[in-house]
Amino acid sequence: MVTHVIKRAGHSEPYVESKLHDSVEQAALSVRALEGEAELLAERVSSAVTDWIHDKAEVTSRDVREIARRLLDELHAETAYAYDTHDLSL
Amino acid sequence: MEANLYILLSVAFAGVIHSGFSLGASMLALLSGHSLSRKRSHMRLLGLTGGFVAGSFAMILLLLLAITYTGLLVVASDHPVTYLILGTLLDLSGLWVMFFYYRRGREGTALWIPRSFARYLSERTAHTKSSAESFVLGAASVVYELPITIWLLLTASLSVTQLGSVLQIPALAGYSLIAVIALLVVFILIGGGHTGASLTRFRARYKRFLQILIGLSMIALGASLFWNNYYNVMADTGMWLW
Repeated sequence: MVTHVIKRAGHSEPYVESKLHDSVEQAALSVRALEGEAELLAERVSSAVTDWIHDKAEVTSRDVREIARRLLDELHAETAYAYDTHDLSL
Repeated sequence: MEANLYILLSVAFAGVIHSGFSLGASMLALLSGHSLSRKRSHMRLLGLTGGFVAGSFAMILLLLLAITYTGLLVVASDHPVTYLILGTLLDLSGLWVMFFYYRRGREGTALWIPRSFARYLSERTAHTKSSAESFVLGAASVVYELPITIWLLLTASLSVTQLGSVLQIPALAGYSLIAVIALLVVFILIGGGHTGASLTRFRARYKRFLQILIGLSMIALGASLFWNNYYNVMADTGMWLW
């Protein structure tokens, strides 16, 4: 089953794990995490989110963000902050 | 001598208030975060952030020069009513800043600027690859905040016209340098290994305090213009309003 993500603007698109992986990895690198650490963090968070949504037909992008944020809070607080606020700084 | 010192202090104070506005610092933090996430070298990061600070400095100085040497030709810079109007606009802007500069109910340091502008600036900042581009972004950050900072620039320009010609350009350059001090601090911290996220977190923690401080400072500057350049002059001459 393909899970659809309902975006903030109202439209929906299929969930793609690599997109979440890349954004977590970029957030980790932006706070000077080592490349290997960033990769590992992105892998763990994106896998966990994929597990969480696999039996759901639809989720909101806000849900995905919230779950990822909670996981990151436990694993790497500074990355969690960068991930959460990257579009709230201007 | 004493009059010159008072004028220079007013210009410096306006510059300090200008340095408290956050769009440039936010964009600089964002620029460093995106550069790091794209695995750019430390030298490249310094080039980009340095270009941004230089762009802001250049734009502030250009605006000041333009206002002082062309714009004020059409304004009666020695008329007390000019100061009455400018002081009032500074006070109103100060009040607006105290209530609306940072968006309410949002984490981070989201500013008053329209969301479409913010998205555009975020995207441009994220895709900046060269120092020349970041220079232009730095200049743009000054232009985007002009609806508020224009009153500070006008105050500095009006004050500077009362100085001798030898002191005018150094005073305008001094204002520009003071106005980018916050950016220079961010540049140095990023160069020293701090991250954009850690700086944003720090600024987010103190944003309400900063907002009130800037607003009150603008109100104080406006009141000082009113008192010294309108009220005292009118009281001396015995002529009120026009």
